[in-house]
Amino acid sequence: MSDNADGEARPQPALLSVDLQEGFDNDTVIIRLNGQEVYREDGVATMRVLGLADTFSTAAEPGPATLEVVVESRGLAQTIPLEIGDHTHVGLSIVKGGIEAIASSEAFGYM
Amino acid sequence: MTSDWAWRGADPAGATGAGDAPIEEAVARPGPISGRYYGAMTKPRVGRYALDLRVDVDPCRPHSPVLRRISGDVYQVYRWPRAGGTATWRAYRESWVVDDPLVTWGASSVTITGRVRFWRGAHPAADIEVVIPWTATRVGSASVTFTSADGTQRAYTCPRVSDTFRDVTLEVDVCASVNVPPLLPGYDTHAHPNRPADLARRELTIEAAYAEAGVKLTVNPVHTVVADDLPEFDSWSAAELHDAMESHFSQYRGVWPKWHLWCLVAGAFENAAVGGIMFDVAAAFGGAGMPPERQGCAVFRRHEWFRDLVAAPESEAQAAAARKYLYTFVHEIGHAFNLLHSWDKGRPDAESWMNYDWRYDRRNGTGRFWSRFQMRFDDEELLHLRHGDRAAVILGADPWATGTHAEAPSGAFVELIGEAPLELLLRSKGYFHFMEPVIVELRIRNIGSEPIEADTELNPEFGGVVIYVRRPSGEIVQYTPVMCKQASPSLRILKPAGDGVEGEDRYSQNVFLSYGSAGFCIGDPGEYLVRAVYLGAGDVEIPSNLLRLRVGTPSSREDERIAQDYFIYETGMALYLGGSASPFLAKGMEVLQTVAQHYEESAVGAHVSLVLGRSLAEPFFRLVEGKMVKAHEADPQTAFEWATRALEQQQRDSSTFTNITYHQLRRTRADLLADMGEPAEARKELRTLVRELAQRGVNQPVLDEIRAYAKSL
Repeated sequence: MSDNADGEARPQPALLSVDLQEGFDNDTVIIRLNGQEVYREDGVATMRVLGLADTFSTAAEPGPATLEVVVESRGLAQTIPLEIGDHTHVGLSIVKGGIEAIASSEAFGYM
Repeated sequence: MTSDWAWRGADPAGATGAGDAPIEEAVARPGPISGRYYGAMTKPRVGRYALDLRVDVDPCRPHSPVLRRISGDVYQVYRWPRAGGTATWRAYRESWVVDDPLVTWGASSVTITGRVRFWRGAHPAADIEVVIPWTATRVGSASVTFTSADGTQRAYTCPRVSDTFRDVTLEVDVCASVNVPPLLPGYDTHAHPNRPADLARRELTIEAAYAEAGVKLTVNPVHTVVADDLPEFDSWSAAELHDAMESHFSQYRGVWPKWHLWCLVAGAFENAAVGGIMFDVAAAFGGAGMPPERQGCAVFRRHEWFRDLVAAPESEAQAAAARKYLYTFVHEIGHAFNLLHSWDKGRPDAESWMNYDWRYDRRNGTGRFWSRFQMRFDDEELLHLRHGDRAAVILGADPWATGTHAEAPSGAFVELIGEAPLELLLRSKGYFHFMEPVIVELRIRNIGSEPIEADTELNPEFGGVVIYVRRPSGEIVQYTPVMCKQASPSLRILKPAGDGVEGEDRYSQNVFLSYGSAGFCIGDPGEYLVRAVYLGAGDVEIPSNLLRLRVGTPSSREDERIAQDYFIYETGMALYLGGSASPFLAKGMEVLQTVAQHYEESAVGAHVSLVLGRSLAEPFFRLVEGKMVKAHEADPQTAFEWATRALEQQQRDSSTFTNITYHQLRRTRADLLADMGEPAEARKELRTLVRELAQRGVNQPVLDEIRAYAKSL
């Protein structure tokens, strides 16, 4: 915790880590957190030897949040409600033509 | 499928019995029948072939499932008599498996029969019978008989060599920044409380885990420390890992595939979420993208998984780290053996080394993976490791995530094991422009200590060499020339290296590969792999290195428009024939003239100009209404102009032509000058050629031949 100008404790920003995992194949992906764009990339492709396409992290306010995922190249979009803790990990995959998301307080890890 | 490893005399658990108890008194077996056997053909041609046999019908060791299969790899054996002794080598031919063998246990032998399934190529139906006897003290040799549908038999006698099915050496090097114990994993399977209740307690190392899978994995005790202490270096990319492998893997050089693998214990990957990677795969899969693949992997010691890794775990966190360390090594080595992730094979709930714990838990509940995982591969993975097609398993063969090469020609995977006296080298430019004729150089060289008389006709048209091409699509085809030529061998004595003038130990020839009897073999943009096999007079089989070349993409719409006319029969044939004045190929020649003019200042134009020049150097005869007529006179002047265009491009860009093609160009110009009554200019042309080839390092015998030719003009 740090103090603001009034001496009140100010919550530390939390961290949201997003892993783009399975099913991406040269896609254009846009991700917005609470309406603000935090990720936009072309050519997102899953490295099959790892099961991972890309990762990024962004600071976030702890508490309820909305993660909007758009796979523009396929016309897919999904809004995911989240509860952001100190460090929240979200894994996104394209499965059977749709976006699947998993959330965890622990990092996923790949090999 | 049984995991009870205690073999009990003549009728082990899980085996199919023959019915009533044998009349003879059973002889207790001294050990498992399952394992590897290797031996030579006994019928019809003694010693002509060898068989590597894998028998998997009874338990070999604890915690090692029996898969009830037999499989094998067939090799053709070659012998080359010479003064100092006979050179012997073998060439891998093919693999087979019996999926559902009938296993009949006798008092002192087992008979295994079944229908053979070959992994690739077309074969008549064949059945196999394997008989393995034993005494109280030893398991005997396997007698193997293949019987084809027509009654033809092939027989082998194979002594037992091992109680595992594969034999692999792992070389582990470590980065200086993480060179702390433990370097190699070791895990007491009862160290962590979250485990299956019936999990057998044992100390698992990489070797032990793979031994249970049926693979003898020997870890080289020498571990090179790799310097990674540059201040600005903090993580590895796949390309950097591959580069490190090329520098440090003692087995990297030489012929692949082979049963050797490299692993680097490194600090961190460029993506901190990655704890291990088999980096040696095509770039499209996330690797370094350089064939041959599946030669190396890495484990990242600074990953958070290994934060609590210590040599002697005492806490749960330390046990979890030790378990994960072992898991990562076994998992990455599994990828090197061409195993995909479990979910990638439609088995997301597999309790296997090839799954991710968190992916399993997502489907089955938190912590469930480790509570159920028996520290093993699943049965399908074991089948692959033990009985899979050799090229799909051995390191450095099939690219990762492939192996379905049933349609590939069987000769494409010929592999030389041992010491052949001749080497076949393939080389070319690494990059060809779109529509540039693809020409590769084949070179045979004496690498023995005695002179060899070899057939130096290396063009596939003569049948002494076969060439295989893997196209960008992954399809592997045999290049088939348009023409088949029968001729006496072009025999030449190749001296041993160091004996006489340098260059007398070798012979080179160019082969045009773009077009063959099946059309354009090489033309689409992308990466190609090329391999050749030297057959000589039909009594040898010597594979070449794997040549990688790339064809560029069209750089404009104009390129695409011209390509529409270029990639047709008439143009391909015209190129193949070195130009033609036949009216049937007139369209092709017209296209080549367009290409030569449009691409005048490029390698495409230069090569085509050379073809056009050579085609006009001689008159053209054809049959008209049953009579032979001279349809075209030689036109040395126009031919010389085309050849000059080619030379001008070479002078603009010295990489346009390789040595042999450049030799052809200058020789063509010299011949044309001589034909035009200018022998002095012709000799001057050849003197320039000698000087320039000497600067390029061409050997003396070639230069001497050109000088002799110049004198003859």
